[in-house]
Amino acid sequence: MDYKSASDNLLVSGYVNGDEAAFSHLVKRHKAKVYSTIYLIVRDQAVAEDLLQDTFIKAIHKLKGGQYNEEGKFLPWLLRIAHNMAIDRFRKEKRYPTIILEDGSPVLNSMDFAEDSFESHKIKDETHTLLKKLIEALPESQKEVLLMRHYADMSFQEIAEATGVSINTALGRMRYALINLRKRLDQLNIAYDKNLYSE
Amino acid sequence: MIKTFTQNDVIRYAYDDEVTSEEKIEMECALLFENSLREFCDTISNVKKSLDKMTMEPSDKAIENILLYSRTFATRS
Repeated sequence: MDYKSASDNLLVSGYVNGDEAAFSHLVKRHKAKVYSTIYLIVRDQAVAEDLLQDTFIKAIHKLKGGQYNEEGKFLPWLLRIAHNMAIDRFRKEKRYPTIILEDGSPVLNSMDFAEDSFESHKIKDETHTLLKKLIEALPESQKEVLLMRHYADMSFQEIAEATGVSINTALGRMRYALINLRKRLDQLNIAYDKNLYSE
Repeated sequence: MIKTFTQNDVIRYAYDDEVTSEEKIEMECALLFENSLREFCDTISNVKKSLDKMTMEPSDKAIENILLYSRTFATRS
């Protein structure tokens, strides 16, 4: 099997039939998205790593136990598990843990970016750090929808059901979240920063 | 006649959230003629692009643990 170009479906089939290399490729393909989803909810690297492992362990049990029936939707299925685990942890702890670094900045600032070279990462760091801070500053209801839709790949219908609001309310919250982000960026005169909007 | 769309419709379109191919064509047609709708769509697309770039990498150790768990799963169960 050509693992790199194989679809998630093919890799899942291979894994269920005992191909560990197929699973390794699935994990490597999706680890960043799953980890980001969890981290943006729990905001603690150690907790996020624990939950990442719990997410994949749950997935292993379901795949090997013949309980996976989401053909063609492996990533959304995986992200739903991750999101639910992160939300459960948040509800148990009743608050977001916030870790402050030695320089006084929250640990969210230590987030890294995928597919960036060292040089481009250095150039983009300032504006991306700002964006992370702006996300953190959003009202909770807007941030929740933003994380669920953008990072957990949940549909607006699923978000509406999960949060107990109408689909129009979920869409409205997402709209305000995106508009707020853009407004704050505009206020800070970086609206057309090429580092933010480059392809 | 060009169908009227709301900003919520643009959000669904930008995220390709259960949008039918017919709705996509209607939206693309509206975006050609309605400046304010197109500007809003550009705004949303730009913010979305920025958000797309924000991903984090877990440690190698966490990934090793997952793969080890999978390899030894048969002996656990």
